[in-house]
Amino acid sequence: MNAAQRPLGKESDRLLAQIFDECAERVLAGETLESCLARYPQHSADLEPLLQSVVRVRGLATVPPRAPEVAARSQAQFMAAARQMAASPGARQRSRLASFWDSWLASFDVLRPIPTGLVAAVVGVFLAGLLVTGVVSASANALPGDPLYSVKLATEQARLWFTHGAARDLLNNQIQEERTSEAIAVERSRRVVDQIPLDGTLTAFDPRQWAVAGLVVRIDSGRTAIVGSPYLGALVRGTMRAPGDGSLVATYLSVEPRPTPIPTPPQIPSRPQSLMGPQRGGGVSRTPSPTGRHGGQHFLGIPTVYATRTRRALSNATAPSSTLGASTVPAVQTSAAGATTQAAPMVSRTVAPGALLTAVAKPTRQVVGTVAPGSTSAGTPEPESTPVPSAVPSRTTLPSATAVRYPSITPAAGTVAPSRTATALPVPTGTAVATSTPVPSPSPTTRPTSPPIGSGPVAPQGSPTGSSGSTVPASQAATATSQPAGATPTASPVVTPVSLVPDTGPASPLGIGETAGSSAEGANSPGYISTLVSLP
Amino acid sequence: MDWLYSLICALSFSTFTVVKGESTRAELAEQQALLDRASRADPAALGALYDQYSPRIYTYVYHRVGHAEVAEDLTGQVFMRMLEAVRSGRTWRTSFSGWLYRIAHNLVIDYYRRRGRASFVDLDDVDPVRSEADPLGAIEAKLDSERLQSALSRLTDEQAEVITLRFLEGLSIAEVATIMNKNEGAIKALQYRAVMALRRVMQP
Repeated sequence: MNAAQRPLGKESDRLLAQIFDECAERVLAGETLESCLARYPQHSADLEPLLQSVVRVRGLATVPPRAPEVAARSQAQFMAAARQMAASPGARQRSRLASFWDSWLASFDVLRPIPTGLVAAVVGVFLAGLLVTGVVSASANALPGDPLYSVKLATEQARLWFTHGAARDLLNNQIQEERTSEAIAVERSRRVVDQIPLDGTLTAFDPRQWAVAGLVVRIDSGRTAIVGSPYLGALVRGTMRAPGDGSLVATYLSVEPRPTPIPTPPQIPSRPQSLMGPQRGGGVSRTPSPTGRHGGQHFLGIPTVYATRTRRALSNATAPSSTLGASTVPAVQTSAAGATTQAAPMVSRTVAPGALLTAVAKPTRQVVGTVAPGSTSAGTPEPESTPVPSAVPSRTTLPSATAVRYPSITPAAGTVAPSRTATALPVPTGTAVATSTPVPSPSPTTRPTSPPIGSGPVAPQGSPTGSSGSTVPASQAATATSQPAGATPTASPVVTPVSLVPDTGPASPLGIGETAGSSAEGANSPGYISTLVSLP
Repeated sequence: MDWLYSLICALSFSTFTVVKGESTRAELAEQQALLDRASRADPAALGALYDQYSPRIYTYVYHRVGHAEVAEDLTGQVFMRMLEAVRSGRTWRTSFSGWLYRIAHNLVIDYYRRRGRASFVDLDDVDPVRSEADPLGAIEAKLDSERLQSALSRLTDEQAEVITLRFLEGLSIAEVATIMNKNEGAIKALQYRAVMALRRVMQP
């Protein structure tokens, strides 16, 4: 870049450019070079060669005169074209329009000093705002399924974003009412909409329909996915669809778990050490109950709807691994992480040694598995499992009580931390009964992971010994002593002083959302997905 | 008496200024009326504008291309484009002269694009009318034009443009700014750099 092309960054260059322009103007007007330079003696050295160049260029700017005939011919051509254009009526009309347009634009002469880019930006922002405002206004009456419905939802979220305090609660209520109105409008108009948001309080429910936020939503037993257990007053979120027949069918419902009070460990009576002996059928066992707390019947007389857990969740529930036998710490923590399903928070519980397992649920659970003869599922370091010649291939648990959450159970004071040895017993009626014997063991926690149902032997995964994997693990025996409805419990009904602190909340009236072994084993996670099955 | 003389001089100057200002305003109004009529495709107004501006456009084009016939041809195209703009309603917004020079500028650029930047003045290409009257002067004019064209060709397009409009056509800074679509400060800076570059290329 030469000096002539470098930017005039310095103030002196700008000043020189200004002075040069003034002097050049004077020279072009006829003033002499000397007089111009005399005005700026301090810059004369810089200005003089430049002004001389200007004078020289002016001297070279000789233009030969135009040939008269050529100029006349050009003018004649121009005038002919001008007359021809003037004879065209369309041109006159366009010219009038152009004149009006020019006069209208001339009224904006006041904007001329403003940079064009700034004016364009302002106009662009204005037009964009106009467009957004128009779209938002048009979306105010949009219904689910309309193209602008997402705009409506986004607008509501934006309003919520900028609203705080009591006004936010009020706005939330308004939005919920709007959702209800939209659903009613969709229902009445018999429109087919695949997805309609649902959010509100459960005011009534039965196996076939729920009343949420003033809407009656049909439950499709084969398609509706329900997360959680319903109870009156529960906050329900989900989606529904409008098949076009004037009804609303729930596709997904998530029931907010009821607030659980902090459980207090019950006073567990000390038990004699003799009960913890490795007696067959003794140790940890639970007294199975063929019915739940409500006996499979709603207290209002509505038939109980049982939720059968999905395959995965069920298998997780039926074959939890445990290290109960290796526990020397006061608490053994089992986790239902293996039963993770959609939107299922991990729920873990701590099973206190000596916790009583019989007081909670009466699940009817079906477990398909095989217990190999002679296999043991014992904890370390010294498994004391009793070899089982034949295992029951299946086990059925039909829960009829509310899914119970066990946030944390602390051992009772003075309780001896036992480990338990599980023994899988052959049950002719298809009931697997396991017992566990508390044995002091240093296993802190376990997380049950279970194979899918029907995949073969119920293997105690994560067992410290991992002996054969073909017996019902001790933890399962301890946590899921269950029998099919009507089955005769063949295990020893000895109740070991192992207790879980159950949820003290009311049981689900219908048992909807109940899962197999939901109360007595480690799979009582509230985050499973259930499929509703109506009992006869 | 001196104060009386001074008073008379002041009154005379004031009167002259007022009269001149009124005259200027009248000329501007008349010019504006002419432009309005031309924008409505009035043939008489269009003819008046042609007579008024064609010599200036021809001179400008000639300074840029250095050839009389080419300058004449391009000048005719400039005014044909003006008619086309009037026909389509896309006429000037603020300055008619700036708009017209802009058309000429674009045509010159198109001309150079078509035939390349190199342009030489043929000494045999002498205006026959002038050559008959003053052949020596014609040759000198051609030589001067050749030197000028040679110097301008070694500048950037913008520098050559600003020197042509400012010092060869005598347009004001504001008019040049309008034609070149820049602000006046940028035109002054560009003009300063252009003259510095021109001085270097014209040094023997």
